[in-house]
Amino acid sequence: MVTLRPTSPAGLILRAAIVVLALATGWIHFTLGGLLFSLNAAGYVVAAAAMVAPIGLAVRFRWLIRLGLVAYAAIAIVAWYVMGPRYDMAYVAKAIEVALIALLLVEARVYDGSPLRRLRRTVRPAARA
Amino acid sequence: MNTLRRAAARGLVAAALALAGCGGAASPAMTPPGPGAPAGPAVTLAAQDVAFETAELDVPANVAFTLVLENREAVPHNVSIDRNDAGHARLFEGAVFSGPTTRWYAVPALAPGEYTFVCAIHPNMTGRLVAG
Repeated sequence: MVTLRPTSPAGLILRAAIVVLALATGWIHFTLGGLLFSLNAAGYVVAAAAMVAPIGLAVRFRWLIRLGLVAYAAIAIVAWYVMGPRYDMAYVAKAIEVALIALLLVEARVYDGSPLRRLRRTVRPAARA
Repeated sequence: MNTLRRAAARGLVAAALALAGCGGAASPAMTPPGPGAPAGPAVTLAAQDVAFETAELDVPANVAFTLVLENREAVPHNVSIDRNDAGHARLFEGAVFSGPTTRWYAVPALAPGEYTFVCAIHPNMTGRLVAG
C-alpha cells in the first residue's frame, strides 16, 4: 500500500504530474494565439507555479489553489464543448485537462478531505482573531 | 539480379501510390485541385496575425467553389461558413491547420444571400461572404 504524503515519492510524482499537465495544456493554448488563449495559458502557468511554490501563503491555501485549478480546467472543457472547434489538438488539450482534474481530485481527497470542512478550518481562526 | 531490381522498383511504386492515397484520403477539402480539374471558381483568403486579411468575399451562387486559405503563421486556423440567420447554422467547416501553408477547401454550392465566414478557433476572425 503506497502512502500518499506531499513529501513521499508517490506524492512528489503526483504533484509533478499535475504541474506537467497544467503546463502542457497551457502551452497548447499559448500556441493558439490571440488574447483569450494567451490569458488562459498564463492562468495555467500561474496555477502550476502556485502548486509548487514554497511560499507560506501558497502552502496554506494550496487546497483552494487545487479547487481553483479544477474549476479552471472544467470551465475550459465546458467552453470548448459549447463553442470550441473539433480537431486533433483540441482533443489532446481536453484529454490533458480531464487527466489534470482527476489528479487534482486525488490530491484534494487525500490531503484536504471535504472542501467545506477545509473552508471552515481556514475561516475559524480568522474569525476568532 | 534483374528480378531483384524489378521487385525493388515495384515496391517503390507501391509505396509511392500508398503515400499518394493516404494524402488524398485525409480530407477531400485539403486536396489541392489538379491543374486539369478545377473544382469550380476559386476565392482566396489569407490569415495573418490572428486576423483575416479580407473582410468580404464574393462567390457565385448555386455553384460549388474552391476556397483557398493561405495560413501565413504557425497559429492554427480554418474557415467555416455560417448562415446569417438567428440560428447561425454552420454550412461548411474546413479542416484546421497550422501554417505557413495553403489549403484548398471544396465548398458546396450556396443559395444566393449573405453568409458569415469565421475561423472556428478564433471567433474574432470573421467576415461577410456574399453568394450572388
